[in-house]
Amino acid sequence: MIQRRRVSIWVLWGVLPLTIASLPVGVRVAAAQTARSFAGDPVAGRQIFVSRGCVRCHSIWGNGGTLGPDFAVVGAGRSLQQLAGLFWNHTPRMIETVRHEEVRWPTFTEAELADIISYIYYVKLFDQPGNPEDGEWWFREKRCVECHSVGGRGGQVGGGLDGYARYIGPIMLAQGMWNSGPEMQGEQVSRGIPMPKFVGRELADIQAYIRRDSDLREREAVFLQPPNPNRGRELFLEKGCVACHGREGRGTRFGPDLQTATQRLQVSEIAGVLWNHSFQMDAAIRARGIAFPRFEGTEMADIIAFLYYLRFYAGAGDVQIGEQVFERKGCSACHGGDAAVGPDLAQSRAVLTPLGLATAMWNHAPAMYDMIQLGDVEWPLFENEEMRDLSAYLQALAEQGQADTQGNEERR
Amino acid sequence: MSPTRREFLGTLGAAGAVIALRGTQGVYWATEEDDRGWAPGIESRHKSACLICPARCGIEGRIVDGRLVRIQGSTLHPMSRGGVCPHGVAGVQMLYHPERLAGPLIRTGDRGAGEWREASGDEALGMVVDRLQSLRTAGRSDALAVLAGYCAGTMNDLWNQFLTAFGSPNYVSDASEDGSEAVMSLMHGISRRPSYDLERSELVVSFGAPLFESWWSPLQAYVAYGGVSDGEFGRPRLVQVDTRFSRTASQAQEWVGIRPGTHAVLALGLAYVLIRDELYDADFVAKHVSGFENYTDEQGRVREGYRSVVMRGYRTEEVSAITGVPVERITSLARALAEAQPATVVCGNDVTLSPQGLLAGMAVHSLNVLLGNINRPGGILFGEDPPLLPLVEPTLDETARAGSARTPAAGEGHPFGAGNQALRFAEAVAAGDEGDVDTLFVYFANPLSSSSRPAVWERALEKVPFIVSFSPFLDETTRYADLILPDLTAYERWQDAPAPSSYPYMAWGLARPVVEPHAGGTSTGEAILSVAQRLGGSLAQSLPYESIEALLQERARGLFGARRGMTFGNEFERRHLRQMEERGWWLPEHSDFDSFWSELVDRGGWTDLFHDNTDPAGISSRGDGRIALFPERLVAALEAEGRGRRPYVTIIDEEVAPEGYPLRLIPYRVSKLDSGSLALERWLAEQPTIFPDVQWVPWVEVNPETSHELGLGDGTMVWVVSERGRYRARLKVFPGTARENVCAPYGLRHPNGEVANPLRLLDGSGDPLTGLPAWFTTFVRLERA
Repeated sequence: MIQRRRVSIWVLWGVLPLTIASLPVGVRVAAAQTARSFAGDPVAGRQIFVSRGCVRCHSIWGNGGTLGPDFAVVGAGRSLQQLAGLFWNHTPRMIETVRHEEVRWPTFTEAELADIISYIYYVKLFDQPGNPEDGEWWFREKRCVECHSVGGRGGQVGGGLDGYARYIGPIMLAQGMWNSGPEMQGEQVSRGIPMPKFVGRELADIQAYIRRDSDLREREAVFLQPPNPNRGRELFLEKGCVACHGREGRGTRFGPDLQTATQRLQVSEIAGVLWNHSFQMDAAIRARGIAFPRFEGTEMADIIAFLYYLRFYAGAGDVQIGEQVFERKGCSACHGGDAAVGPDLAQSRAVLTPLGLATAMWNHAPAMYDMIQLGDVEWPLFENEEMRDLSAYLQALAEQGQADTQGNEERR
Repeated sequence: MSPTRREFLGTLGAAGAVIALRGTQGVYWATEEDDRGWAPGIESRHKSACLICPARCGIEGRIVDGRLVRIQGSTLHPMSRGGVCPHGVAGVQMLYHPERLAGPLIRTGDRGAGEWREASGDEALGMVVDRLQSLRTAGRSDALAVLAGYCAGTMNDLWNQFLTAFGSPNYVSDASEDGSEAVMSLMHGISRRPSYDLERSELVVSFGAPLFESWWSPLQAYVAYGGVSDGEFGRPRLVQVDTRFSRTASQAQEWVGIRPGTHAVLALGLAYVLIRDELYDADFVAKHVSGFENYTDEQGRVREGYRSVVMRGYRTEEVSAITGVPVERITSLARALAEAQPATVVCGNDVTLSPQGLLAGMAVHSLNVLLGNINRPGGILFGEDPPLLPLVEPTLDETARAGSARTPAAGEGHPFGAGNQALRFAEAVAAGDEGDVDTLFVYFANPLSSSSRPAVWERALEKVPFIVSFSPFLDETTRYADLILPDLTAYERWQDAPAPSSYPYMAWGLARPVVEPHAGGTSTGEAILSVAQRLGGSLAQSLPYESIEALLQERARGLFGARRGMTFGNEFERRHLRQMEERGWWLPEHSDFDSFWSELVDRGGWTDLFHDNTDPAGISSRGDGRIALFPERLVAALEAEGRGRRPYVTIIDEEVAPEGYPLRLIPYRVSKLDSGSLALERWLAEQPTIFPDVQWVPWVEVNPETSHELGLGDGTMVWVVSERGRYRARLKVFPGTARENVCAPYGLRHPNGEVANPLRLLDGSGDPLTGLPAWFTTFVRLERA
């Protein structure tokens, strides 16, 4: 077999920087949330999904095995830590299944787990095509038709939209709308047309309508490459979005929290959110002497990916709650105190990063399953943000442990 | 002697080491290590493409110790998906056939006498170069002709590039045509054969198309119909409209027996019901179709439209009387077509190989138009070519320009199709002077066996001073050659293998050497490149490629840069690609071309499963953007004939059996033997058709009542006699044949090599619009042999 040399579609999309581990805990958490790149390569994750046999039991958009859940449904939109928790929670059933099927337990490196989690998170970005019938209705309902034409039908003020038919998703349409926003909105005001707002899949539906009715012939369908959230982060800075929305899009007194506003939304929905706020935004930034940002190429897609990925790291964990989780879930029975069956996590380097913890947990799951079976103990489940808090606690524990070790060595 | 435990474990250890080192390779080990020197064999598997028929399925060769021992289907090929037909399996025999030519041969005796001397590849190529050089020096570059059988992809481009740069207009195709391209060109303005999205169809109605026999890709039909599809779509229901109970009919849910030559009448009878009961897609017709209602032509005349013609002329009772199909079945089939979402109507040779073939083909296809099944998932699509880089722009010197501008030897063809180009060429050469065509390259063609007029071909070949055959076997036409440069088989050479036109998606398969090439063979592609280099000048500049592999690699850069598609992949990967592209996204998987090419070779090809169903160009490329039910050019040509013919009005001819020839001949291609060139493969010759007791000997099928009336029992050797000739076959009594017909498989030979070709009996009639022959207008009688 030829080993694939994969494209790292975004260079900065690397594993978590380890340098942050040397900072004091309180400072480190805050720094990690503002400066880290988004981890994992979803293209590589897709290949791992196939090569490690995940596809035998799990599916994406109904494509794959039916034994386990469809990751595009249950996994997408959850944070890295929640996905790690989800992975962990389903391991007993999976262990039993792979043993029954006499298949080897798939183990992952930290980078591989990052890739596969990233892939599962990422697929939610890719909307299904819209409905052209609905799109035609929205095109009229939103009064787009009064200024724009499709297939020779409609107004001429704003020009024909037929050229957008070469795109399948609504991103480029949304970008075109955004770039023309101030002029378009000025024209609407002068004509007394209310500003259209787009929610749900309306933009996707309009795009599907344009494709269906466009006169553009022998169109070369243009497929967009997956948007790059790290590039989106850079654009977020370059285009001046940070001036109102802050570095991580969490909002300032000038602009709203985009992470909250875009939570669990898909591409076309986020594009709609951006458009909906552009009119107010134009006026606001004009007042502050800031130029209206315009996008080229696939810049808007990258910005949207960045906004979508803000939830990938769902805030800093709470060390105290994490300690409670450690006790409550019974981790301490094996990993703490003198009677430890498992390794002393205060001395573990694996727990220094959330992904390292998730990887170690996954890879040792079968061994732990056997131990738990012997002890007739219930398999610990991690819900909501428990995994995030546990990770924060274990990180703090390991850092302290390693600092102590280093101090002891220095004293010797 | 049994191996000891230590020896056994040692063998396993060695096996493990080899597996680790060789990736997909394994060890095929002997059960005993003994004094006879048995040792573990090395097994490997390689993806490639089958090149035996136009389907170009994906295959996987199992190699043991350097020998190809088995051919299986490649599960990664998007069209064949692990399937392989008897042709493909029997390729092993082609590779190791004892009658395969050992190397180049130069004729020493009279033509056809079978006297040859062996030659080196270098000498043989030198002989070709000298001959071609002398033609160019004499300013007679157009005296070179290439006769090629089915030839697609880069080999087709290579031949054309060579002839263009050399200066000859004489590329002569001997591939079988079904006339569908002419129908599409006239009605849609799109000059390519239709593709059929069978897999997404709910109902497929085949008008005489041999879907599971000798269609463009039987595997495509099997994948859609036989339950080996990705499971993404349901299995379509199949109705086969056929004059005989064919293999396809036997596997369909419903067989509609029909009188020969009346398929188009049935199609319009179905159209009658669809229109009468308002079951057709009125929105689609209103938006995309011209000529449905009465219309005013360019001269300002009011012309009768399709609706009126059909409602006036094709009432179900009349249609039933002509076709032999009961009224109830006509009505129920029309309703089934309307209810299916979507349905596909497939037009086969039985429709188009008739005196009114073009008009009949349009009538059948008009059902797809009425149902709106154009450019819709599950309907008729127009495929795209893979985005390969083109060959370099040919360099034309004065000789090339002058030669290419001359009239082709085969003439300019017919108004709406090239027709039987090979036969036209043969007739022209036979009627001309000796040496008009000085040099003839014969590539994947054997007209002395397959043609309906072998005598014409014999006369033509006698007029050609220098014939070069590239056949690896000494077939009938090759025996007439002056020089034989035996090609390598598909398992020893590089060649691309694009999916056939029937497949709606882009699939570019790649055949590559999976075993060491035969020492005496020369890949024809490599021979063309070598000859071009030796000729030098503009020829060398026009074909500057080191090898076919290098050429294919260069072309594949277009795929790499296309930002769509993927190398062949498994079911999950295929569906994932489709899902992503339908959402408008594409995942890049390779950072550089080398890794892309390596994977493409390893996986056997490249594919893209996206089709833009919203592009209006996928419905019609005519000036008005509509599908023309009455194409102006055709209507004008018919008026110019002065015979009063009109589309949908004149679609069948009255035929009367001549005295003494009471039975109609129904030739058909069997799935296994193509045009006869494969009859030397034993596995194919002994493989039964739908008759388990018929093998080895050519047969003809007659109805039991006919058999009884003639006093000729099952198994009797008979002569099949027409006014044009006769051939010998064994009689097979079969109730699936109508009483008035004799069904005759095409492509068979007797074990002694005697050709049994029913096409030689044909009456010579054909469609003057396309030039295609009529296969079902000949009457015969049977005589005890």
